[in-house]
Amino acid sequence: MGIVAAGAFLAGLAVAGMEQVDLDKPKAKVRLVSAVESVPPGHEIYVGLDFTIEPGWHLYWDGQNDTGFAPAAAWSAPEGVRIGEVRWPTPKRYISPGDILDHVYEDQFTLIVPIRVPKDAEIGSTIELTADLEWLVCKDICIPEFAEVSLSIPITERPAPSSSGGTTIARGSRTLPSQKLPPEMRWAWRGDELTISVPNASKIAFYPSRHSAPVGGLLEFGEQKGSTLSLPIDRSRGDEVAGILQYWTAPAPSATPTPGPASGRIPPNPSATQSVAIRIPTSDSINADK
Amino acid sequence: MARKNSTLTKLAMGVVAAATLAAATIAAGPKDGKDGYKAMDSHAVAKVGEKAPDFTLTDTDGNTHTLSEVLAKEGVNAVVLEWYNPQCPFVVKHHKHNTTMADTYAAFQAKGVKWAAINSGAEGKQGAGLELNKEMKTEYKIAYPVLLDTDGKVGKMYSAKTTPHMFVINADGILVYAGAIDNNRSPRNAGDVNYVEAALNSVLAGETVEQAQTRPYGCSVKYAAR
Repeated sequence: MGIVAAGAFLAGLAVAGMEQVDLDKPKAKVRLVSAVESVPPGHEIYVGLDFTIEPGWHLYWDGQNDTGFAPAAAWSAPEGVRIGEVRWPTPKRYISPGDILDHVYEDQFTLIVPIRVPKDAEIGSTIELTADLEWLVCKDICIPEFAEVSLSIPITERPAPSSSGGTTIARGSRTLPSQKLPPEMRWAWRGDELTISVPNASKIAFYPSRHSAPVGGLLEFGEQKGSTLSLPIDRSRGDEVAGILQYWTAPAPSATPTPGPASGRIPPNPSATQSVAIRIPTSDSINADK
Repeated sequence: MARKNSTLTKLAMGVVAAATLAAATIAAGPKDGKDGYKAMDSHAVAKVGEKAPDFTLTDTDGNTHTLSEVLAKEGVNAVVLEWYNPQCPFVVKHHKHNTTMADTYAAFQAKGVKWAAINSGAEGKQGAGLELNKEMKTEYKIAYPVLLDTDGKVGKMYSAKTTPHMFVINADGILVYAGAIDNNRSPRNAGDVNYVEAALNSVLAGETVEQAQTRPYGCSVKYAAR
């Protein structure tokens, strides 16, 4: 089903008395890009599903959300090509009236997907990758959109980087949560309460993955000011607390922007943010530091 | 395109689709439940296993319906509440592209199961308004009442988050199921496990509902901004 079909599907949804939404115009667009122009047999490469979203609209992260539907891809590729697990960038919390909490992407984001080329791929042949995509894009209303994107990657003896695809994927990689815990991070269980602390953080937020043990009152407790985040967890309902931890650090006193010389230089970003993928077993009974 | 040229491609596609698409759409099973929030009202708040809060609402034909009165009627074995917005794609999926709601209602109608759709959309929001709801009830051939909850009070009492968001109440007025209609969270395809059907079968057999809570999916209920 292509984008045309999506338009027809929604023809009955024009709403009287609402802001006019042009349903024929897609609210999100996607491109499939590769970090390489060509690839040798047996190599792993990264491809990116690069989404651009109309201002004011959002797409959904693949973790715990009250509503929505995260982009889903059905891939087709020649036999032996292995499509790895999608890497999702850090989302942002999005709260709607009625205490509805979602984690979303706005403006632009890139899903990064590792692709393994088989060892016996023939030099001179081409790998055709196609992703059949479905996503939901919402503002005041929600619209399902569909797209099919494809890419041909020749098999060559030596890899050849792609400058434009490489740039998109490098930019996308910087928005992924780190897989390495910051050494200063600590956590502790006190009964059913999990406390996570990152010294010097001015704010900490937790975005649970779908398989995480549930956080009680995620709307209320999922984001807290200061260097400590305390989460009520139903420990009996999951093996681990898993998801993305995002924290913001206040500028160090020395970095406080002072009125500089009249050079027109923009002062440094007053707060920096980092995010990290966390997995904390619910069976842990004592303090752990890693 | 790759998929045209060989059966090998199809084979690979099947495997990959099963691995990635299934994980992305269906994996949110009952295990990761639906309790990550608190309702704001400290009094009457719907909780699975407890008495369902009573309410009175008016349908699109001007008739009023009170939950406790419906439950008190002779021969009523259960009540299903379906949060509803006729213009939400997930509602369209179950009322137009598939007949999940109509089929489930029809299967239990003669067994003393009452069903109501509730629209908690605020005035001016998508899917709200008496005329539109009358029109869409006819278009979707909905055989049960569509109740309007424009101020969102009943929706918030039940912590209804999505359209659809399903609630099953037994003859004793106990909320025995809250969650999704089925196990396919996509806006396009219906699932192969209907949780409401399963819950109703248990209620009618006098058994405990096995999956009393699942994670609902859909559009957000279009409540008024505070």
